Amino acid sequence: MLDEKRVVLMTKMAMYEENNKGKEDIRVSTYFRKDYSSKNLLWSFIWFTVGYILLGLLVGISFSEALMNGGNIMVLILSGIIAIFVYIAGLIGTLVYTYRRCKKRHSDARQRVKIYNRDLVTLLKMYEKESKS
Amino acid sequence: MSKVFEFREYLKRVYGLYSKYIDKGFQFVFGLAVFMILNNEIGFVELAARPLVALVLAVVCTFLPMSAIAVAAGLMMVVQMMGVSIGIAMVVAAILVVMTAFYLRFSPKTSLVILLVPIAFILKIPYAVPIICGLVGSPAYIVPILCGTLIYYMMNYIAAGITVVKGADGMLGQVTVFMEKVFQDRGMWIVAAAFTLCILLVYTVRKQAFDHAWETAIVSGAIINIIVIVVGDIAFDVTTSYFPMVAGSIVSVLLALIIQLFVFSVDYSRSEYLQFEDDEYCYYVKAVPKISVPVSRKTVKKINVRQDDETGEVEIVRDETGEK
Repeated sequence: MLDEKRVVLMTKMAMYEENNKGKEDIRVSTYFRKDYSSKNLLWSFIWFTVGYILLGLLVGISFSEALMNGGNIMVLILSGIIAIFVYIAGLIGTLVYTYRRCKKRHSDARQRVKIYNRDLVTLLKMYEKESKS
Repeated sequence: MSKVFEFREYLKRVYGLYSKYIDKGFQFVFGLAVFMILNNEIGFVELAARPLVALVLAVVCTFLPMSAIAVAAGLMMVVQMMGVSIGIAMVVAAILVVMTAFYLRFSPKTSLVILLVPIAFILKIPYAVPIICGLVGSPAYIVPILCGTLIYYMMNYIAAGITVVKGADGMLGQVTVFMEKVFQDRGMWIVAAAFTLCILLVYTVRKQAFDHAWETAIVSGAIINIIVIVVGDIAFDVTTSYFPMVAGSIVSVLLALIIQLFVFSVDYSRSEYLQFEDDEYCYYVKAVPKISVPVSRKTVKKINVRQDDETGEVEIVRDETGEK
């Protein structure tokens, strides 16, 4: 005999499991918050450093002619120091943003998975009640 | 006008019934358009520029997430640039990696906007993208729009100036010429400034509480585009043909008005003003009802009259919905 409430609950849970939000939430919640943040911070560091180096190369190539023709050593050293400062500032900004984003994402995912687990318990109780009757 | 709203409700109903197929169909058509346009503009590698390759890629990308189209388009662009020069291909690849590292990593879904910008440029309606993004999105869309603009100008320069690039001295010379021509193109920076101001203005105006804010935002967005481009052209001595620009702006405004019809259509004549308070705040609320038109469902009734010889009874045949 079909129980309408059970079918509604199962449909709601299946929709959550199947869509990308549910899969992502379950994947994120398997990590401890610190581990999840550390993993993403490491990737952010790598991506930012690679992107910055490539950007620096592109800018350097764009201005290579001007630098070779008229630039002196002091301009080059000053440009290098500014580039390092910008890199450090950008990296700190990116890592702070990544940390906050990961913290919120992990917390929100844990909340949604908690609701999902509660629904699982409710579903289990429904089955137990049905088997007893 | 009610017919338009009825048609809108009809489309919504159809989409609700067949959304899975419509989404995949749109993804296929969009992917095919992107790859065909790439091949048409920068099809320097003959093998990769074949329509069959574009078709196969579009079919494959249909079964993957939407961002797969952007990844495939980026790879195709790098492959096509190899037909010009390895150095140019490396520069284009580096630019795409920089875009990914600093932006797309955080918002992969906005890759659709990056792809839309070059398509809009080729269709001569580039101004539609910042207007529509300002209506349905936020100022955060400035970044993908600027990325899309850069990609278009890179493709456009290579398509138009390939002989200049190939004639340069060595790989470093080719790369230097390419970078200088693209990044020092004043026309590109003027368009980038116009798009930035357009999206900011459209977003700001449409968020206001006055009547017809969305329509005002659309028109003001188109006007600011034209003004910035004209002023920039005069200030930096750039030549732009104004007739396509004005015609493109008019078409962009019409497109944006159609989008507005689906996203935000309200009846300002039935606005209600409310005022109430709780322990913390006083609330001044303006409620504007949405326009909703019930769609009439047509049923066909067939009445067949069958005369019975003895009793003279008439039989009524039921219609498609089972009603008499």
